[in-house]
Amino acid sequence: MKLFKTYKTIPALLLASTLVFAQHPKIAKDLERADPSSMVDVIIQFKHPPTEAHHQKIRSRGGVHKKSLDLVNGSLYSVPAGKLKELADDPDVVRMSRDHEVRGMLNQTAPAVTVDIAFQYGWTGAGVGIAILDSGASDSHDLNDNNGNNGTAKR
Amino acid sequence: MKKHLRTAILISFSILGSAFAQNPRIHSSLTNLEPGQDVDVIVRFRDVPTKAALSHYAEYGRHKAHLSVIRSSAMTVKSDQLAALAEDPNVEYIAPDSAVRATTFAGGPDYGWMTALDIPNNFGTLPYDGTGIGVAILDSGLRPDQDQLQNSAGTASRIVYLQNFVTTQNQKTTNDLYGHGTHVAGIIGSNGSRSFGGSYTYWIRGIAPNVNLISLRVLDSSGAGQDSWVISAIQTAIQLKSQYNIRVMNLSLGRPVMGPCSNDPLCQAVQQAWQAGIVVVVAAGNEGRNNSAGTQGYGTVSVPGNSPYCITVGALNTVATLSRTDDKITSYSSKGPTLFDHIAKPDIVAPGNRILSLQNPNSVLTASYHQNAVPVSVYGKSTNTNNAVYYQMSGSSMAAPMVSGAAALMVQKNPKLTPDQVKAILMKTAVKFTQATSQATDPTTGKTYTSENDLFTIGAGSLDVQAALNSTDVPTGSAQSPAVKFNSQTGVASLVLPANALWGTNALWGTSVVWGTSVVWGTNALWGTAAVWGASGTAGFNALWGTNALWGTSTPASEALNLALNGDN
Repeated sequence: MKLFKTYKTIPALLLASTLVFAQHPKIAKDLERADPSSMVDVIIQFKHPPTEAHHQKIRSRGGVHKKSLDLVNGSLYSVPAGKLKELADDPDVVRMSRDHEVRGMLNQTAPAVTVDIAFQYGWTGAGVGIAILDSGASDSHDLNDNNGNNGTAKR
Repeated sequence: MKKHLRTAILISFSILGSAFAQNPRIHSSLTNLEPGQDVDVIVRFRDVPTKAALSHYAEYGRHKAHLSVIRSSAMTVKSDQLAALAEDPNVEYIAPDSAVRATTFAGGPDYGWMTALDIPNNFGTLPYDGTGIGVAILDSGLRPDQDQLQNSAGTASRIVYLQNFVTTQNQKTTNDLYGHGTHVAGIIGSNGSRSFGGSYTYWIRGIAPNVNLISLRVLDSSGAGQDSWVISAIQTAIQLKSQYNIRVMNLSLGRPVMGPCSNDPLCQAVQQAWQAGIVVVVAAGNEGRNNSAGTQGYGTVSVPGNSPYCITVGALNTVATLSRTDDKITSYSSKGPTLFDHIAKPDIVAPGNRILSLQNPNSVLTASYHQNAVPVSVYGKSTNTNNAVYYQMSGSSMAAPMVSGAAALMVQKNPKLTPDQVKAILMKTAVKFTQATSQATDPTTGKTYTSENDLFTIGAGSLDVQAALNSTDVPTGSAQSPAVKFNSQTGVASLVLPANALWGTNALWGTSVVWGTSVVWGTNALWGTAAVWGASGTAGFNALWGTNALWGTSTPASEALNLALNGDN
């Protein structure tokens, strides 16, 4: 049974990868599947940290420079997915990766969690304070300002 | 009743996609329920109702809790009332409250830090406490006023720097809205001042109770972040290294593997930090039960724990005792080898099951799981009437900070140690396992899991801080985690040691010294089950070793959805 399953899957995958247009070596696989008309958040890495000229080139294709990530010779951009291949042809570009979501590695944060279900629907809690369900639990020092700036060094 | 409900939810998840006329305001799992059945739901409002307005909803069911952070309420509603409730103009959506789990605190003292430090009595100490060492915590933030993160005199905070990297609107704070970062920080460096003294029976403190903390917030109020936030924070940690003497970085976070580490920006950033002289400690992940690709949980270490240039930590269960002989790997701890690169991971395991540490009472986690708040009776004498201030969590998120704290103690003792030396010493001195297998039971489902104590499950063994501090080894060479090569003709797997690796350079660092009997390379694959290792042609084999990795672009779906985990029993 297992054997059958394997044989069924592998040729299907091989077939899929040969029929669909050849993958661009600089573009991560999961980016190539993005809807061409959508804007995607992409970490674009260059041979050297990108300069204003690189940002400009991406802007001219409808992209937005969002954050410098010089540590990895790259920057975060929001780019129309349909323009990725064109931009990847730039010899200065080394790699394009999606700005993936990361999560805390807490066992209980399985998606079964109430709050996760809520967030799954795009409920971010934006603009809403944090509920204190157990109103008796808070100490007096809970009443600091939300930025928590008590003189600690901070940018 | 609840059991029925859960069954109903699971079934409807599986038939998701079949054609039912759907009310767009009701989650699909809440359709086709038996009439009259009580259903636990989360009702999302357009505007947070006033108390008076809430009484209006009493006709639909019982109001249980305000979840104003998500503009919602938890309610128990009769199934036939759901449609009517959804018609209310202020109701935006009704979702299942599927967090079906124990409602009372489960467990007791974890003995995690005591096991790791080999401290036999409750109020014992070590000559090292992390003084002067900076640990960067890339997590959900910290409140600057946590009293147990102050110096011992209580006159100044040891949180020496805070910065936010979360760019989502209305999330721009350095505070811990989620509750995860606070817990992690406590495992690294809480001084336990709220459980120390004559009226307490168990001291809840961190591994390095006088260490300095640099809190870089990369996880939002739901515990989620972005690669770019984490990379940016790593960049900042490297910049701040000399100013705050940042020698250690803790990453209790991760995501599925998308491709080879060398192509992955987050992996690259971790390697940069390591090469800049920072000991990077990363949680392995919690997918050790995941069999969706037929691998029995092998191949589930997440990014950036898949980097060879970090210490990847799996979660150990101390079984709430000080003794090491009964310790066992948790069933959920992610296992190697890493996808694509086949790196031998985790590197080490540390206590991570039902760990007690600091609580942020104003956090989403506290609001969602008050049953995980630790009653004072767990750690105080019966006469103790102080407020409960601790929280219990499980996962490799809790195991990683044990190792981060340990690394801080090591560089305090010997400031010259490099990240490679810290890693090599921690791995060599880790306690090797003597049992070939262990079993663990999920407290909610009662399902039992068998774990093999192989290299891909337990790494070099269990963290032993005192042994690491006592070590006089000064290894030279790279401690990057080796890759594993599998010979499908002979069925034998072997370590591929990089040219400059310190492993195997001499008898002191032979692979059997570092990994113990869990590494039996060259004879046959002792470890793992035959389904994964022996018989080529199985799905699991192809997923791990095939040239066309089945998981390629997406790691298999998490099984956690059906697990509702609360640690192992």
